Amino acid sequence: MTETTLSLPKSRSRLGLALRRPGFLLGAAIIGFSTLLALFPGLFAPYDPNFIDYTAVGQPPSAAHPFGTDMLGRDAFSRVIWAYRINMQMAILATVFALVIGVTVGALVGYYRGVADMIFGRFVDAIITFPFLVLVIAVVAVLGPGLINMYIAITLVGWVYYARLMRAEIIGQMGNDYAAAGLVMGYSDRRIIFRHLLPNAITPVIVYWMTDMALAILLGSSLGYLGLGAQPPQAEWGVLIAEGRNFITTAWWLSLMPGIAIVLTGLGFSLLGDAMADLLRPRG
Amino acid sequence: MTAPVLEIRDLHLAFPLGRSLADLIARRPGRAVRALNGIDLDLRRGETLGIVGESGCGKSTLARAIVRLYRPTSGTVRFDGDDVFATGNRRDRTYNRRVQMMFQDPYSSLNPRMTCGQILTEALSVHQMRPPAEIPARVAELLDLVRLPQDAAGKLPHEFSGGQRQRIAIARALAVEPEVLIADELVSALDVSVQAQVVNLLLELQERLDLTILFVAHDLRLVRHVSNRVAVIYLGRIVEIGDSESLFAAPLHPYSQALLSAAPSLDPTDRGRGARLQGELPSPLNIPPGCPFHLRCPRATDICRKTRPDLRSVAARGEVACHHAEEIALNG
Repeated sequence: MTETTLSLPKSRSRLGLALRRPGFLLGAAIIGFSTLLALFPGLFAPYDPNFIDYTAVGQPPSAAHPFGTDMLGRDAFSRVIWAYRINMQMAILATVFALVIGVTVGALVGYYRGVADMIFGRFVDAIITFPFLVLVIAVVAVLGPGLINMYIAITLVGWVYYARLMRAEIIGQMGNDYAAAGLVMGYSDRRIIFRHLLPNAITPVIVYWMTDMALAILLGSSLGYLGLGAQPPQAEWGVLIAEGRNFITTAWWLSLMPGIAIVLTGLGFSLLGDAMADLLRPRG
Repeated sequence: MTAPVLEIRDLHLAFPLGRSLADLIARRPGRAVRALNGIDLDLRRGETLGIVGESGCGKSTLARAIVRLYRPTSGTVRFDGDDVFATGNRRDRTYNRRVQMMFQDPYSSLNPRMTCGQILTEALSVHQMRPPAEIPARVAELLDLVRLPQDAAGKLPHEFSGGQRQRIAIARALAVEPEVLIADELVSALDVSVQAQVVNLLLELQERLDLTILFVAHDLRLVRHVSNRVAVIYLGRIVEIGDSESLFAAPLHPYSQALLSAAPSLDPTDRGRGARLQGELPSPLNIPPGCPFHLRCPRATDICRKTRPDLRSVAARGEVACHHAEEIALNG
């Protein structure tokens, strides 16, 4: 008649385990450094991003201008760094409202089901049928180009994906007896949804959020490239790539360097999301 | 005889399956799993009533309907005379406080992200069982009551064994000081040695706290050990209900006989008594007419195929739903 609990050695905390993973370390390093660049671009950029130097137009990379200069003589390196400010802001602002709206709506329709859930289901089907970019471009076309309108457009379409994921997770968690136990206890719906179901259901959504931030940067740059997002002369990676496009055969670095910045940040968010999935998983 | 705490009358519960295309063409209503088909049951204050039956007979559905996790199709559940499904009473939390339930699966019945202490604190504070300042002391008391060490309060469910988790579930149910406990297969997921610990703890608590228990289980020996009275359920109907000792000693319904003879016994003189059951449990989608048991019953006659027997008192030994119960009572 003995009951013993077997448990893993306590010395390896979850964070400790995560820190051993090279993927997590690399992802955290990239995103950490990107955030620093976004917060204090002035500390890292050697020049003002919009300073026009007619004595140095279209120069190839050199010690003074590591990424060369564009056709107006602006320092490409400084512009890529200042663009971190806009593009990292995109990662947050284009996703965070979609996250909040999607999680709330998804949790509610997943919990209550019924007619609202059926309407939601058809609505999601309708949205998902269209390619994401096409819908966003349509919304931007209606609202007019610009960063704020772009955030609104991405949120209007993007929340659906969060809501769909959240709904499925909540329904899965409802199958557990702790949800039934909460009902038998007479707990309010709000308590059951937000204190019991949500913390157990949110992990995949957070992981999706991380990858979605990478997608938001990509999407934001695409719209910037198309002239629907950030507007020149603002330094933004998509805008920078577009500016270099006409000189791609002679000054390829103008488009390549912001492209590399996009790839690196995207990689950072993906690696971080992967590690987050392990960190947030409940044990036992 | 004391007045019943819970009165269940003619309780029906069907889970609709949705109408198929064939149903639509034939213009018939969609099919439904008829889980409960007219349950009449009184739970007397202070007793332990065992509910037994095969898997899929409706035991758990009955337990969940009583605590309002399912809404019955028809029939009533009265607690202290009040209909718990009446519109005004649906959101009444006092009923939730007074009738509590414990679940089968110790791995899913506790929120994996809340510590044992948080789980108990939540129950205490939502129902305002104690002023906030006294809640930690009460949590300690509850842990003591179910014989968990005090440091359990700070641990998450995954740090406990199955038996310990079920004790946390018991403590959670007891936190709100209920009068009735519904135990749905409380120990069937546990090792036999741990089962005994948990069940004995439950019985001891029942005595100390004056609880009424509805004990749903498929383990007959366990039910016999625990219950004062036993109800045997077949396809969502009670086929026999009576005093635990007499029912186990001499069951009157052929189904009870078959069920009991299927249970392994340590007594060598017990061996081979009664008939083995033939056939499968009919689908609750399609319940046979007449006596629902007649397809498998060794004593079935014409009347069994045509008329459904009602539950009636037989030979002062309890109630049986069988046309041949008197005969069985006489001849064994």
